[in-house]
Amino acid sequence: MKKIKLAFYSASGCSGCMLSFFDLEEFFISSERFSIVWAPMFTNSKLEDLEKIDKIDVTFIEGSIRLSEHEEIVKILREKSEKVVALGTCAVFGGVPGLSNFYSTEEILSEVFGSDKEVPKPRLLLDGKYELTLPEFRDEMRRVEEVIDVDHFVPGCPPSEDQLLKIIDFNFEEKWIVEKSSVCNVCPRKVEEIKVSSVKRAFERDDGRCFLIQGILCFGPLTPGNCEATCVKVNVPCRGCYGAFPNVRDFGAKVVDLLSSIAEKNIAEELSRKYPNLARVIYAYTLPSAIINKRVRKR
Amino acid sequence: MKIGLYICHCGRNIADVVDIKNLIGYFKDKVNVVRDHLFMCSEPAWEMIRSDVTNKLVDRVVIAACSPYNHEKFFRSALETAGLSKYLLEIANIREQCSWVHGKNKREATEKAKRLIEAAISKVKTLKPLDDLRFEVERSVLVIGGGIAGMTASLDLAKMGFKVYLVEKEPSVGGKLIKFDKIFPLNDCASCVVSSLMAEVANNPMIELITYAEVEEVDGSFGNFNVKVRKKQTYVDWEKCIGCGACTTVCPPKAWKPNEFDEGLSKRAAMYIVSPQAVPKKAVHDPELCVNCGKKKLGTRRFLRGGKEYLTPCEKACPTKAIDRSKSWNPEGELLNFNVGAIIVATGYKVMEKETFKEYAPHSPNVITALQFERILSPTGPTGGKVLRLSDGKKPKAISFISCVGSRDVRYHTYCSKVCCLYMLKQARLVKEREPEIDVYIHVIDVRAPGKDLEEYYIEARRMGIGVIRGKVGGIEELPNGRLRILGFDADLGMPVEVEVDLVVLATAIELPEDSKELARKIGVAVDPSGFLKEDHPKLRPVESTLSGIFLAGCCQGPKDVSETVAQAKAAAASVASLLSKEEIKVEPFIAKVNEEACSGCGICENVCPFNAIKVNEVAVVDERSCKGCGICASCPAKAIDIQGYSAESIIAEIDALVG
Ligand SMILES: Cc1cc2nc3c(=O)[nH]c(=O)nc-3n(C[C@H](O)[C@H](O)[C@H](O)COP(=O)(O)OP(=O)(O)OC[C@H]3O[C@@H](n4cnc5c(N)ncnc54)[C@H](O)[C@@H]3O)c2cc1C
Ligand code: SF4
Ligand code: SF4
Ligand code: SF4
Ligand code: SF4
Ligand code: SF4
Repeated sequence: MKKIKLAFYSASGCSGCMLSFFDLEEFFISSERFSIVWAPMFTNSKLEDLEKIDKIDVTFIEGSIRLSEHEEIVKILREKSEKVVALGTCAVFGGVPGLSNFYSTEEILSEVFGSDKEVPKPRLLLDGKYELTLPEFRDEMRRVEEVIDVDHFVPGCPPSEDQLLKIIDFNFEEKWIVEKSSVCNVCPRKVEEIKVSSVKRAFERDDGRCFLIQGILCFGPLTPGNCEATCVKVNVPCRGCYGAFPNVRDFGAKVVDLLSSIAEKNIAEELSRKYPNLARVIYAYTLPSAIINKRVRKR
Repeated sequence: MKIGLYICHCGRNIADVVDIKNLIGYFKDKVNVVRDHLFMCSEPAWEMIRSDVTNKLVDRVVIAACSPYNHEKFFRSALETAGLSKYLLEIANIREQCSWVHGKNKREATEKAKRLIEAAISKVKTLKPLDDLRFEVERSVLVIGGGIAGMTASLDLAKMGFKVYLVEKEPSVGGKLIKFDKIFPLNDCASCVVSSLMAEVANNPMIELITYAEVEEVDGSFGNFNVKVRKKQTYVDWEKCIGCGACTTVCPPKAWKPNEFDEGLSKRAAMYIVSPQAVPKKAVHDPELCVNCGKKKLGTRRFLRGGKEYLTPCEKACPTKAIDRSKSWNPEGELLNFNVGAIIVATGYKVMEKETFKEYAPHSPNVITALQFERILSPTGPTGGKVLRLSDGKKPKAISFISCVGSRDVRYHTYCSKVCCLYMLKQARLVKEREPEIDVYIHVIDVRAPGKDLEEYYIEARRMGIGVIRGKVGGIEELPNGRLRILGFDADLGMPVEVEVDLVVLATAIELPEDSKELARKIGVAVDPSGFLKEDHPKLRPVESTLSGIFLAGCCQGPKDVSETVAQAKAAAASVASLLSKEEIKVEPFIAKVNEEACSGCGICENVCPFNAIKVNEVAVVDERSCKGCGICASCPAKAIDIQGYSAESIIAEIDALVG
């Protein structure tokens, strides 16, 4: 039997999505059906090795795209692969690393390296003899889809077991592997009618009813319910780690859209007072996929 | 996809500012057909578009002309007659939104016209062929409010063969007019005008008169509204009641309260008949006022020793045994449910209470509102029509009328209540006719008597010796002897004036009744900034509300006199009739459409729809009849809802073209 050739690549990701495959016994049980041809995370895979491969059946890409190196590699992978899967919320929507779009490249580098002076030069000589070229640090964090064509999207931070089980035969058709119903559908706090008349933070008194009704931001209605409402079950409001439903273009704008239709009065001022970093809350997982996807500076 | 672009000169309205040649050159290669015309709304231009479509040169149409509000329907008909879905049309408004406002800057106006046209082209590419929604029409009408407006409209419709449900809040129809003695400008008898109408609405077989009832809920839409009406419980079997009034005189004084019909100037009992002219003339029991004579609580029976049943004085008084207080109290009343094709709202007005105006000594019983004075002048009123003051029953030596109380006043209403000048003159004339020796003063800012017969009416009043003092009244003082001192200003003399009188009549402003606002909210019609119900267009659609299928008549739409009220009522009835006489109605298909694949079943849309038009079981389902296409449900968190014809895709395409 011909084995299915798989590749795994992690761009700006935490490796969690990829590792969740390794948490799955079914992955190992069916391991004679596939071979992993390139996966720098857990096999010895160099760029030269990738260039030598001529065909990959399915490539999983985790994380969002920031470095020139990420971009180069995913482009090569795209060329060689039958199917490319964006695995996890970072790859699909930009994820938590996408929040870096709120800052300029200079701000990020000087914050990380302490001062402008400490930022490593793009080309440097290591130990006085090894010439080293660092990948370029691009101006914004992008979704994989902005760089190459993506065939399948499997959001989640990380994706849940039921999603991975759906794709474990590596022969799936659906474009989006995600639950059709929302977190509210599986939330134990389920309610009949959601209306908002004031705003609270989660650390203020939680009376156990639906967070939104209490005025605490909860993104349950906007978020696919694969997580089985894990957060809400431990009394933490949903922050939308699965990103948006497939048709929604801009998660944060959708939050505002939703709030304005369920608010019984104007809560805008109260909202920005109670959540001074509102943009960071509503775009915690999806900023690079927003219509205004980074801080816009006056020129 | 073959796009045709038709650019209108609008005579010189557009062409003088926007360079049409330039536009034609610019779009020549971007669409399949470009044509211009001096007047796109003319018959030859219409024919030009139609034949392009018929000859298959074009299958989407963009017209660059005036606002779609003007001729969109006309242009659509060109597509429709050519056999194309009439909604594959988009209008770029290069007149109101371009040439008219950028006349000084021709070059930039032309550039803006390009953008507007590009946006329309981008949008038209995203449009899908749509068909009108077709609904059967229910040939019946709900009229809310039984004043002169509601009664006139009901009778006109009934005579044209429509079934009418006339719902009146009070136990009797008649509205304000039945309270008056005479009405300007002819000073004819109000009761003679109204009583015959009241009798007619009660007896017309096409009219179902539902009094002592209120509209609870309205669902559905034009052509077929589902209406729920709650009829309050009366405890009197109206089939048996003969309106003799025997029961209304037996309640003890503890069970009396100020009589609404006399504007609080007399008392009525817990058993009452609204007025001597009431239609239907039936008694009503007011359970909140009733003191449970003989400890017989509502909803119970009491037996005396010996087994004889105890009857309360009212039950005993009734010759036909129509009163049954042993019925248990049901504050909910009885719910009636029926369908109608259209609705006319005719809930009239209320006047502001005198208590609002602290500067006018409202605590004095000799300061009254004009509506109260109408009752004093009326032969059915508390004084039998004699001009007396109520504090001591004596004839006043002098009376002052104060105008614009709450009207034309930034603290309350900036509008003019329109009828007060004339009814003050009317009331003053009636006083003079009956008691010529009473001095009568009218304090006005100015007298407004425009139109046929009305200025003449004013001149006649002056001739009768009524003192008209021009100038605003600052305050009223009550003197120790109970007389009232008016502290005013005489603008003609240019100095302050003081007048001492025995009775003051305040012409308080006309307003929409509070519960009409609630009603408006329930049925979805808008209230305008003046506080009255909003007509769809003050000139072109003055009897239509903002919601199709709901019409307005009378003072609920704004202050007006009886002639205007009747004219509007007749216009509303005629509009309703012309629409309901068709077999089916066609409605624009711009309603919510659910993408069932994407719907998560979260129920938010059902929560937020103001018209109860969307229900969620597994997935959301839109009731086409009820959906108004308001777009609120498009906030769907899964983006499973689009408004047909205005999809997110279309709007984004337009925006991209405008800003791109
Ligand atoms: C003091 C005074 C004197 C006037 N004198 C004259 C005059 O001499 N000549 C003249 O031309 N005009 C006069 N007018 C104006 C005249 O009263 C109005 O033009 C006329 O009454 C308007 O009729 P309508 O049917 O619109 O309202 P209304 O007469 O107010 O009738 C409204 C009806 O609707 C009912 N209703 C209200 N709410 C509801 C509800 N929620 N559900 C069901 N039913 C409801 C009410 O009970 C009432 O029966 C005078 C006005 C005032 C204040
Ligand atoms: S909004 Fe949050 S708390 Fe409310 S039902 Fe949805 S997931 Fe549960
Ligand atoms: S006494 Fe009887 S018949 Fe007469 S008004 Fe009262 S309820 Fe009607
Ligand atoms: S009608 Fe006359 S009194 Fe009434 S508000 Fe207008 S101006 Fe004032
Ligand atoms: S709001 Fe959207 S997802 Fe939720 S039930 Fe309605 S259509 Fe479905
Ligand atoms: S568009 Fe949506 S919210 Fe508006 S009436 Fe229709 S279903 Fe209701």
